[in-house]
Amino acid sequence: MADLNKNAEQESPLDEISEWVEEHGDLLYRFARCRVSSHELAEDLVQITFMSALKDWQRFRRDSSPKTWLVSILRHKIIDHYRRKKPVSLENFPDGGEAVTQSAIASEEMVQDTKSIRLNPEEILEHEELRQTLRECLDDLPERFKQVFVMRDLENESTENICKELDLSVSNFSVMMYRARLLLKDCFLKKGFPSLSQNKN
Amino acid sequence: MKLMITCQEASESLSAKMDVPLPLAKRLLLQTHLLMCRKCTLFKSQLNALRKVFLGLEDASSKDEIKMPDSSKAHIKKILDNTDFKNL
Repeated sequence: MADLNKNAEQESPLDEISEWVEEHGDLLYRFARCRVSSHELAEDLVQITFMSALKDWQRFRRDSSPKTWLVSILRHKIIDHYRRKKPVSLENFPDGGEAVTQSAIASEEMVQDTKSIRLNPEEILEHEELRQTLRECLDDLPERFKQVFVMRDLENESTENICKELDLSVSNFSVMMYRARLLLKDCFLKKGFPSLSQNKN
Repeated sequence: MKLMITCQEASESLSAKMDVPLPLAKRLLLQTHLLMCRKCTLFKSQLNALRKVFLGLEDASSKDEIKMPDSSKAHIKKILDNTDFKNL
């Protein structure tokens, strides 16, 4: 055991981590890109992830795969990013607060919209073009809403955990989810989803 | 006690119900509203579909060509190479 620790201390992890950049870089980038609003920020977060991996190399246990370990680091870096970006207060929301409030006020009209589409999830996911549209709509969300929505509706994380991790009250969380869902629905309506509008449910 | 809710209140409850358990009184008001409102019933099915589609998006997206630019990978490797990891 002592020998193993000694070897680990002497061995440089640089070669292996450089290989991981090639091997897992795309996956990490895709993971980050789904969760933050810009290409540059996604790249920065992936870079920070590899630097952390280098720093915490000694703590890496081989019982999980490098991919799992890297994704877990990246996930925490993304949460840290959003925590730093506070305020959470909806009144002081910096990006799109006004638009979001207007959207919420108009929500009754949106509910009543007779042109409302009938979404067919399987069909949407089959088409690359539509998947791209979904990602674009997600990107259009204010960043903080996007993070909350992604954790809940992409990762299926529990409400309790999300509120704890992002230091949110349940009522603020519910308002953000409601508004995010309305904005996404609005985005789908604007972008048409033409092949789906005639679907019968 | 309030006996009816508006479509906006119903839509808020429909969204909240997907994330947290609703109190009994709110659940009853929502059920009553849905019995009478076709549009909110449609909204409910849209919310469910929205959830389903996003839950499947990440798996489905693995087929798409979203790649980190090679120049970015090279940049990260260069930074790693220039890092004195023993002093991190």
